[in-house]
Amino acid sequence: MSSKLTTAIDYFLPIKFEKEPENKRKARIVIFIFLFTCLSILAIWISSLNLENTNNFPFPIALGFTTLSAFAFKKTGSFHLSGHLLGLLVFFFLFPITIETGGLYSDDTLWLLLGPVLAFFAGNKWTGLIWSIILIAGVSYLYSLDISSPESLMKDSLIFDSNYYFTSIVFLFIMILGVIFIYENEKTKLVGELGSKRNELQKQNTLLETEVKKRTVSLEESNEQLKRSNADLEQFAYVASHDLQEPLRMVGNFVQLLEEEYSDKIDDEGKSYINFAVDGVSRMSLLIEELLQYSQLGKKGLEIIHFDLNTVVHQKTKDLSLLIKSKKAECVIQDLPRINGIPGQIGILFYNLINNALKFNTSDKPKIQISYRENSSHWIFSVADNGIGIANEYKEHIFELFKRLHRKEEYSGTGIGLSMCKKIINHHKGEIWFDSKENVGTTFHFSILKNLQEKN
Amino acid sequence: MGLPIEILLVEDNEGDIILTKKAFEKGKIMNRLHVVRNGVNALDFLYQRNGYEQSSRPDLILLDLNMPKMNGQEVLENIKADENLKTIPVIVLTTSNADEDILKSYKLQASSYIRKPVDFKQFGQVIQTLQDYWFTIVKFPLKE
Repeated sequence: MSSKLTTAIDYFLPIKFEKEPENKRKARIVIFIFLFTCLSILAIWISSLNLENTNNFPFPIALGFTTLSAFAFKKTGSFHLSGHLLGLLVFFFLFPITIETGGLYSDDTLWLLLGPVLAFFAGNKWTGLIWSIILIAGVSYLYSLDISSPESLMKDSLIFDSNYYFTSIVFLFIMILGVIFIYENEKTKLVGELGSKRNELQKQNTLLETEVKKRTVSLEESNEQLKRSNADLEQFAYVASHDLQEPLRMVGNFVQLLEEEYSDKIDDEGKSYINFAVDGVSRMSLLIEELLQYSQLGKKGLEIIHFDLNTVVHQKTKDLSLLIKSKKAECVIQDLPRINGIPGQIGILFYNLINNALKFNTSDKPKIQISYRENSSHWIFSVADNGIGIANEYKEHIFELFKRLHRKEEYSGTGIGLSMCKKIINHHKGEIWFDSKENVGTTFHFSILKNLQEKN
Repeated sequence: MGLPIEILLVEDNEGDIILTKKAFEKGKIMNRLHVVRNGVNALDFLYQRNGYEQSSRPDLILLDLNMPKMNGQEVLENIKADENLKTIPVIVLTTSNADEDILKSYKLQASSYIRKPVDFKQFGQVIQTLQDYWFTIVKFPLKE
């Protein structure tokens, strides 16, 4: 094929074949045949113009429509549109001939069936359906014409009388078959492509699944590791508290025993040294104990249960009764509700707050008030005292671990108590805060989530 | 007062043995403190065997938890499993609160727990209270 002809043919190629060399080649052949046939028929038509056949107008229509179909096909790549054009072509081409050659009784009537068939093959089932309906309408129209003397007309059947009409039909078939062939080919290819895409997807899926499995395994591993190190930590806390206490006790006890048994040989200065030693030991012991308690706050297996807060708070005031008596303090406790929480921890919380209220109190008549209120989601408890108060500048720091605001000679303590309270309140999905005025008193407030989930 | 009270101290720490002896010496009640240094010897003493044939049945056992060979927990289990011995009150000596937790979790039938104190004066008071409580208030099961 010369390059000029190729360019001419390529002009009619659907755009979507650009990326498919195989289909492009096939489509080229079809269009070549189409162009060749068009030109041949044009030549026959021109040469037969001076013949006596006057009824030759359907041919230019046929030529026009097929060319239009080719253009539509190129521009849109749509078989759908081509289907409609071909259906339209058949009706424009054959319907007038059918009327002329005897209406319902004409041989050409049967050819009308070509309309829906072409529309179906070139387009889809919907274009086929539309042209079937048009065919029924057309046939109904032919019936309504009521041509009563078919015999005379039948002899003039144009399709078989005229060479170029017949050739037109043949060429049309070639064109349509070509289009259908390419279409089918494309469809198969598409299905194949879809299949390979699906395979790829499946491969990816499998890959993803293995990846997920791998991740799950590593997650389980690190979970296991975490459990182990948690257990290690608990073991460590126990060993620390236990084994650190042991030598400490020996030091404390024997220094005291020394003082008792050899008091006549030790002078007052020596005895004051002993006091320092004993004091240091007991502070260290308290520190260890509270650290242990602090470290065990997060321990697993602590169950959230529904319990009566009154019992817990009264137990704690009983534990503190010696201090309460020595301070001549008064405790006013409102009737408290039943709440969801970890009783042991809530006990530690109240113990620390009441203990602080007593400890940091220089009033002649210390007074502690415990009360509560509630909102829709939380219980809010308050522990108020008339103690020394907390200076505003320390507001931010008092919940920090080991934070002490006073010299230990003034007020004893380890600086763990309030950080423990904070941790406990965190476990109970609440907050802890305070109002204070120096030398007037402090009120600690804390909230506890009402519907903490019971775990048992 | 009649016969001295027989006390069995099961303890491996020499320091604690001395401290306990001292504390009982200061006590008002006449007592005889027998010391064994591990769990195996404690059971030998109680069953009067392996060199302890001459031992007498104690009125009270003071038991440390952490010991070599056989720990306090096992000794306690043994005592409570024996029909004859289980009537002897056992007081468990603990070093820390953590020990108490363990004991509670094992639900052993110790009569009570004493926290070994850091302060000797305090320890003396504890032993004093213990004596008052066990020997003057609580009526012991009769010896067979």
